[in-house]
Amino acid sequence: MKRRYCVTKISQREKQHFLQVAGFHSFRFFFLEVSGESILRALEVRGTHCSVQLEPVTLSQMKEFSRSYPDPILFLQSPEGASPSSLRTFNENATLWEEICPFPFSLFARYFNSAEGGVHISPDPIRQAFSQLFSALQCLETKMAETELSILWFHSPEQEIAFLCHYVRKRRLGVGTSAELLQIAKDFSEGGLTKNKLFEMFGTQTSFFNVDLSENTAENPILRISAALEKATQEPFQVLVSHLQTELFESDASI
Amino acid sequence: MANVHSPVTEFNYLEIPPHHWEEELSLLKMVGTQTVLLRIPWGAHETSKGMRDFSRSSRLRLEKVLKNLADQHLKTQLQFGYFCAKEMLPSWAFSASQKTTIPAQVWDKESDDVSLVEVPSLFDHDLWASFKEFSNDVVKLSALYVTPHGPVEKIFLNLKLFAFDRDLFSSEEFTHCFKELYPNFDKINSKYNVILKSSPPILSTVNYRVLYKSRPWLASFDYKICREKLLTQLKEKATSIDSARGLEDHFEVETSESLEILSNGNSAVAIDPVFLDFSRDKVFPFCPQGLISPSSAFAFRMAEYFKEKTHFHRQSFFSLPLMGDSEPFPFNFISVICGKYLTRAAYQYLEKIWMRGGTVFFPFGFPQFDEHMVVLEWAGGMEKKTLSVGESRLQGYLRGLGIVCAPMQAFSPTQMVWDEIDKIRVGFEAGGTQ
Repeated sequence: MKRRYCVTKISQREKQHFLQVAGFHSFRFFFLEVSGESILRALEVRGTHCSVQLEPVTLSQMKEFSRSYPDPILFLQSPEGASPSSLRTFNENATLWEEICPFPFSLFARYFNSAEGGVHISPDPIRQAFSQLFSALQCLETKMAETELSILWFHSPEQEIAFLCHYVRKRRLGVGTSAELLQIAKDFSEGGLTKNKLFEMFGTQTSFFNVDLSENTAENPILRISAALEKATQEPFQVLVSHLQTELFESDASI
Repeated sequence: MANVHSPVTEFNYLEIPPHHWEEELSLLKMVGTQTVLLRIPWGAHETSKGMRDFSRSSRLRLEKVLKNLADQHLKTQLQFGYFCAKEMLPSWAFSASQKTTIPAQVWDKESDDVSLVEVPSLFDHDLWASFKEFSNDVVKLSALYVTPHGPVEKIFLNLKLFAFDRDLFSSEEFTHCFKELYPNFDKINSKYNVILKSSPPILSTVNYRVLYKSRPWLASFDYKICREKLLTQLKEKATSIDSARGLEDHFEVETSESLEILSNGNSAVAIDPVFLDFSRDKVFPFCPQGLISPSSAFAFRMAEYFKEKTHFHRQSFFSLPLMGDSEPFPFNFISVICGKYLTRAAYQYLEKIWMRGGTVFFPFGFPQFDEHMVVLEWAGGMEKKTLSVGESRLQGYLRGLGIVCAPMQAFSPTQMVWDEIDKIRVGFEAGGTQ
């Protein structure tokens, strides 16, 4: 029987937990949101902690501020007189990164994903690193979308989090999380996860991706997660119904 | 999916196969759930306009869920209306000509950016007619299961998001409300210091842009007053649906949600509400038609800054009243964050505080005008005094049993402004006024 796939929607706390697992707990950057000529938000971000800043006060001060600020800057600009971000109806085309990351980290993906423009990332090396990260994530998601369900397990030696993504005709319908997914991950790490078991659990084509963040020792968390995503893409644990039917048939035959 | 940690546990009957309802509810009962929240999405029950299904499709059998809940002796709250959920709105509803523009965070509580989303508006007459029929059916059916004979304790119609509507200009009722405020062009031109041509309609979107550009505070205030009136009308319409008669104790229409006030401590930061909208725990910039004036953007930054600071220092943060008469919280010291204008209702609210012995402090200087462009009277016939609080010197008035004061030179809105305000607060609390 096909099981229901509903999992709890990802909460803010879980999104923040993901950042920690992904190694962004001490990643610092400044987030500026500007609408027309007005600065709407200035946040100093340190990992999962955001601190509201009243400076810079004006756009002219902002240029000077940007030049002297030591950390990366994410700058979101809406057109003159427009609403804070362009009007959108239900976040239909959100990338996977936007789904699993807290604000304003989620906005990094918008730079690479959106035709709207208005997102700037500085300095160049950080932008390039994020570009690499989102290419890796896109490749992984192409692989994930091959099956109706995909479990994405991010883990470092200290922490872990797992997401379940639901795809229909290669389109992501939902992302969620639940404690049960970590049990599946535990089975996987202990070598106890079989394709039959995965099929029994979900009753449909399912993939399991192991994003191991402990293998790469790069100091930059962006590069570390990119490498882990690339590796996970190359080594998926997939149960496709056609494969499974063959296996079951063979085992029946042997009986 | 059920969230077993909250005191009211949601049961999403649409995502659980009907033959598992009984089993899932019994599990909820076993883990100690007392009250279940059942959300009834309009979009799922009326996929085609006028064809409502509460019994044909097995997943939509509302009576079966209610019976299962009764069997498990689980108290039940029903909710329908506008809330963020899959299938909440029927896809055909999106063809409604009138849309409601709201902050994305109101729609999706998990969202954190300040973007806006559009949803079909119930101020659209056709859509309201359809929604009314759906509401009638839901309430009629639920009425069979209300306490004491059934499990349903409350039926909530959630229309809260309309309190955040930023685009009411196409509503006839809104234009009518605005006409009541400004029956002729002379009044509007003199108050806003503009020259609008005397051709109807008095409130087109173009005209509103002119008004907003000239006096953003006043234009925001007028918009919000009209929105309040419309909201009251919507609530009255929704409360009076036929099937709700006799269900006064069970049926409730929710149209507003105010900022939750942390009332610990004697001091608080209060903010002028005109450029902002507040939900239970969030602040949004008020941007009619998506327009953001520099003042509105700055008010939003200040609100976020003081919200964070008060939260960290365990002080209270709240918005002053926009209209009406409200009883103040018993704070001894209130710092008021506002610009040149302050609503008359906010003035009266603060007056109650200083009259009974509290201190009202304006770190950015005394506001000068109310919404009628009438000069705000801070002196009240008293002579201006120079007050020394610790090392700081303030200007102020002794009013009633309390004090109204501001710095000799208005504070600059820099990162250190919290510390400067807090120094004054500590000075007053230590009783060091001279």
